[in-house]
Amino acid sequence: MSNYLSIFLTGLFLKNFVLVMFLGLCAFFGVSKETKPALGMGVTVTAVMTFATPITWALYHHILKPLDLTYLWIMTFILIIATFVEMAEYIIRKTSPGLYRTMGIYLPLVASNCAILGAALLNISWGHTLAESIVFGFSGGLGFSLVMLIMSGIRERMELADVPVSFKGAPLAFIIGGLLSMVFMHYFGVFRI
Amino acid sequence: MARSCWYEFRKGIWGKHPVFCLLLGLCTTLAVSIRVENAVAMGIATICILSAANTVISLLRKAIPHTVHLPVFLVVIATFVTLVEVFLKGFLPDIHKALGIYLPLIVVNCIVLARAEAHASKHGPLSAFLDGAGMGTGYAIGIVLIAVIRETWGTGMIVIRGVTLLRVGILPAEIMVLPPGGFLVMGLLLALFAFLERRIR
Amino acid sequence: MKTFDTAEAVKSIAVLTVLLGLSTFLMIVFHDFVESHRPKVEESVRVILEQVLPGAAEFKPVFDEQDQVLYYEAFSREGRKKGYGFIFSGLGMWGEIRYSGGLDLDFRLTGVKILKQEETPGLGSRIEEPWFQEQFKGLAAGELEFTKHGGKIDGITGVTTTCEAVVEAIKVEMTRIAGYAGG
Repeated sequence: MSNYLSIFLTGLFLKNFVLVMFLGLCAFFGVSKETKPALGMGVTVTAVMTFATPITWALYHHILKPLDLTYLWIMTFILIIATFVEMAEYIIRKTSPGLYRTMGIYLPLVASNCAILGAALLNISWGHTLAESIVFGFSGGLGFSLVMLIMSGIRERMELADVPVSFKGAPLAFIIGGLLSMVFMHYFGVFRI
Repeated sequence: MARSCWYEFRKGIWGKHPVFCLLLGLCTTLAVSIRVENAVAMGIATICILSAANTVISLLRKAIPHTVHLPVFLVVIATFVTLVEVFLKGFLPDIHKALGIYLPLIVVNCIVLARAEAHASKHGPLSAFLDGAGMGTGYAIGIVLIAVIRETWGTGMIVIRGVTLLRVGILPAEIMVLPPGGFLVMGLLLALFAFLERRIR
Repeated sequence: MKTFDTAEAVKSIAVLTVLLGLSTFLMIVFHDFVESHRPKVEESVRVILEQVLPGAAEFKPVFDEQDQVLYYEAFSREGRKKGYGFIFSGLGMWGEIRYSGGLDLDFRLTGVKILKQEETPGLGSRIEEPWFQEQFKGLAAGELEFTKHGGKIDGITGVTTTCEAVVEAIKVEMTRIAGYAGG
């Protein structure tokens, strides 16, 4: 049990996908200006990631590895993820227009988001089991959402602050990102168990 | 009138820089810019993949139905990325290990997909190739620049293939070779470029 | 709502399938090409493993997902698989003990060699004596037991700890490889 907890906290804080593993940065800097889209993106990413990691795990360990075709992992993973996202978008559109309004527009962005593929690749390379993959994907998505939320909150405030002209916009966002990264890497190290 | 070949190439280095202007391909840039050695490898890999994928997509552009244009891009790009990964794993395994998961992530690298969408699918093969090569070169210059700063500031020297190329007598700030350093250096560079751009105007 | 155009759908699927087929073919061909042309294992590894796997000419490392060597596969000159090889380090009483060894296809030891050790000279260091290492030949992991416990391995008088460490380390390594390779 402590193993799952350790993986959960690692994915969420210590090896946060955005701030430490550098995944999903395009979305991070692009969609984090306001809280509402940031939240929508976060929820979508979490949902997709929680499914993507175990599905790709199964693909890798039950199909690619026995056939000695592990080098095809890039191609197969990205196709599975893209297909999954397509299907998810279709299902959501048909069953719940409300949900589609929150998540639907982000789904295509998420498919080619390096965070999902990155999570799947990390999952394999860190040798998790199937159950651990689910925890890992979920915690990674949560970590992403958390960071998106924090970032959007800060950026909304920064809009009103007095910032040197050269630093306005992107440069400031990166510096904030750097500070957050320090916090997530070291301050949250207290969770190391 | 088609733009000149030189323009297609150089716009990726000056004018429409993928990393510093368009803010694309950030994941791989910040992750692999800890050491110059790895940054160079990543840069070269990206140039190859970007040029090749752009060319092939351009050649296929008339045959791709619009509904599947994204999966087609992904398949083409993933093929070239896999070829590079297989090559590195066989002949340069230590570089393959150093690049880690960030080499496969070139598949979803915003630069590659964006250029495929914006340029390769709408222009001829030569133009697409030059666009890819130019963007790739611009990216390579960018990532190496960041790596030079991070490695020097963070360790006080630059070591490539075991050979120490540069040794600076400063007290190194280890944070520079850790993830936060990537963000900070990028932020500072962007601010610097913004400042220079305003000066030039 | 998206309008469904059958002609376009068919064309889409056809294009994708053809493309996928071509790429997969290309990747597989290139992969086989690289595999057959890539540099073989380092000389030092080959020299070490040849001593414990008589008759083997080629060694191929097997990696885990993080590119660490798990073990080596051994092949004859004609390319037929002969067994497995390992090189690893374990803890002795005073320091690190470095082992090399070979297994046949039934995971029985074809040979064991102590490459390096830091045990007490005259006592623990006697594990490097040829007779001690010879005894391991032909044994399976389950048979690695001392004679005083009904097995086939003679310990060295007064060197219980080191000998037990050696036997345990080899047994664990054999079982580990059998787990990966036996499937």
